[in-house]
Amino acid sequence: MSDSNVDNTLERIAAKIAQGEASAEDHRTIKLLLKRYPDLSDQFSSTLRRYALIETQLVSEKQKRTFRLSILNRLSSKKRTNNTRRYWLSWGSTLAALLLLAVFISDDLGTDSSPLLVDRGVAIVSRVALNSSSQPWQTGESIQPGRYELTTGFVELEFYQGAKLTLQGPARFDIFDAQNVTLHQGKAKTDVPEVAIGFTVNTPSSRVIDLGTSVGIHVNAQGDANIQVFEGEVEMVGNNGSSQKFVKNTAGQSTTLKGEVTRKQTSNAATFKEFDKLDTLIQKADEERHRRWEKDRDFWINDPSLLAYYDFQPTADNSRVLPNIAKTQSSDGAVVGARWVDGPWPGKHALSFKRPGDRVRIDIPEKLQSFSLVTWVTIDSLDRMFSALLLTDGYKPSDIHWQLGQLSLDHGAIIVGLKSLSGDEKDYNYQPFLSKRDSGRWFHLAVSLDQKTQTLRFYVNGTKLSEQNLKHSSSYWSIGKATIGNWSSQREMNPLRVMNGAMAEMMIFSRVLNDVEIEKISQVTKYR
Amino acid sequence: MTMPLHNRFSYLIDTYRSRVLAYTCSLGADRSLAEDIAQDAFVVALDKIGQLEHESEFLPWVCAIAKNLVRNETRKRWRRTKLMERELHWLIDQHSPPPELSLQRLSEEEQALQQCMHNLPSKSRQLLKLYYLDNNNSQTVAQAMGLSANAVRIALSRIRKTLKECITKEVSDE
Repeated sequence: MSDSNVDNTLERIAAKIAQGEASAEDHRTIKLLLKRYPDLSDQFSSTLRRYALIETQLVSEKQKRTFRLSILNRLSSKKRTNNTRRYWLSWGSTLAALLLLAVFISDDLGTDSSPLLVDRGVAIVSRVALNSSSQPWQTGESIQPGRYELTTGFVELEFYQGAKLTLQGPARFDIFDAQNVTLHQGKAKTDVPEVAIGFTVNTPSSRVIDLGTSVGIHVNAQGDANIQVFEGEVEMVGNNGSSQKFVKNTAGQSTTLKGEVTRKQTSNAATFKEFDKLDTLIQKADEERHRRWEKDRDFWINDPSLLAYYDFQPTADNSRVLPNIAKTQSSDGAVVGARWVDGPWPGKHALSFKRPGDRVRIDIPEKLQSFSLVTWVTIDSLDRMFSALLLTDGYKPSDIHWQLGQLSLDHGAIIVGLKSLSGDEKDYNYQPFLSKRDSGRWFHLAVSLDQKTQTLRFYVNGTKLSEQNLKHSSSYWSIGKATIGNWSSQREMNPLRVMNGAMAEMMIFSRVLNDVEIEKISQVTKYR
Repeated sequence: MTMPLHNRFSYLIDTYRSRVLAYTCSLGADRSLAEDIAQDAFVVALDKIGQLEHESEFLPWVCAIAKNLVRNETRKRWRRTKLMERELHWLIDQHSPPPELSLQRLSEEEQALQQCMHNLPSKSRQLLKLYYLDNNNSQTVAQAMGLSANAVRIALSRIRKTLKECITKEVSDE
């Protein structure tokens, strides 16, 4: 068989295997070929992989959904088997599980049919006081229906219908919608204004319907619920259907439920006293985060490769200057339009970019071999095709463009555009990044270009998510006069690329930071 | 990042589905076996996702599980029916590059495929949409486009080849 015949046969059979249409004869042929020419195995495997990639990318939404649901259903039944004793003790929990499953499935079906961007959240995290860095709760983020766990500390949720729920860890709870949650274990306190009357907290032994009150609910490990009315009125329905209304009396009032509404007991105010300290705890947590951030900042300032470090803390005498605190000769930034706002916590400032003119002008004259760019941003929404993080003026040979893009209806992308000295340009993308419900969440983003290995790496919150080979090399890269949060194009018609969000940090290094360093630099996102 | 487990799982499945399937196929598993194995691998991986420190470890992990499953499955089939995939898998496995290299290539190829799709003539894109994304058979597509079913099959085969060659060119340029 000639070389071209061998190639054609490999190609034909690989395509058929990928489509699931290979015959026994095809399999015999390919095995004979690979036995005879073992060196072709890699080529065949690559061809097969590429055809398979085409076949598996080009599938209907229905097929993708079937694949996804099949896995989720199997996982769900696996979890149910494992957790039967723990979770499904009472009708209340079973009903809760069914409701939750219904929410999940309708949510899944909804993702495919709607071409509109939708926010599936039912609440936002309004405040957090956590003493563990491993917890994912972040102020400002949107919360969707689902099962959650809070190991320690406090989280305060504001539901879209107006109710407020503060939870103290350890707690396990399900959120169904903006008016219904189930507390499996832990302590919670409601604050329900008139517009949200009817906000219901299910427990394994009861339903607590809030009639415009503040009520504390404590579910212990056995599923018994202790309920204390702080203010207003609450209706409690036990598992046996018995119902009783409670109002606050002067002594306070609490009830323990074990499947039915049975007895009242004197208020045990100590059970919920920690909730009164929430403001103090949050303030302390913020101060601690700020202290740790300052310590990190002082560490990185000493890195000799740090060309620019804009820590986004304004000076008292001139709020239109963005100080560059790096120990280099690079200049400070000039704030144009952008306004100072609270950043990730009170005391950590940020600049808000909203209007077409909002921007920070900088000048980094150095020619860069390798480089790393790091920023800390929150994006309110991706309103346009491109949202600037750091863009050089125009797009000249050796220029670097770092921006976010809206390349798909349901998520964004991180884009690094590089134009080599010879004028070849290419956008390198990482996606998906940032969906509608990430609005208000702070992200630590980094990219690094390694001139030696000709690779570009993308990081989100310290995790490397993509490594891509450069398509066009350039003996150096440059930033020069550039803009943070917007674009200063040299064209007459300047396409709007203002970032709709806020930035709390920007660092520019003239070397590649390794994975460990980038993880370290972004640990600020994990401080609670 | 706070995300209900269910949504996080959906996100991981949707993001990596295609790459895990393509990787499994490239080990010599035919399409239907690859579907079964990829699903099994996702179930195993997601069930123990707490063992992972970073999401970046997910794809290599789920592919490593898939590779083991292919091995086990073909071993079982070998005992039972001596099906052909076992030997094909063995032949590929003897000379295949390390998994991390295959995954690196897959990521590049997936990105290249998006570009290649974009470069296709609009008629080809329409054909792909009708056949794949709208999930029609070649007869229905033929009627919609005023072609014979055979012409649709030939055209699809050419488009697949064009895409595959485009991917090969894009990644070898990089």
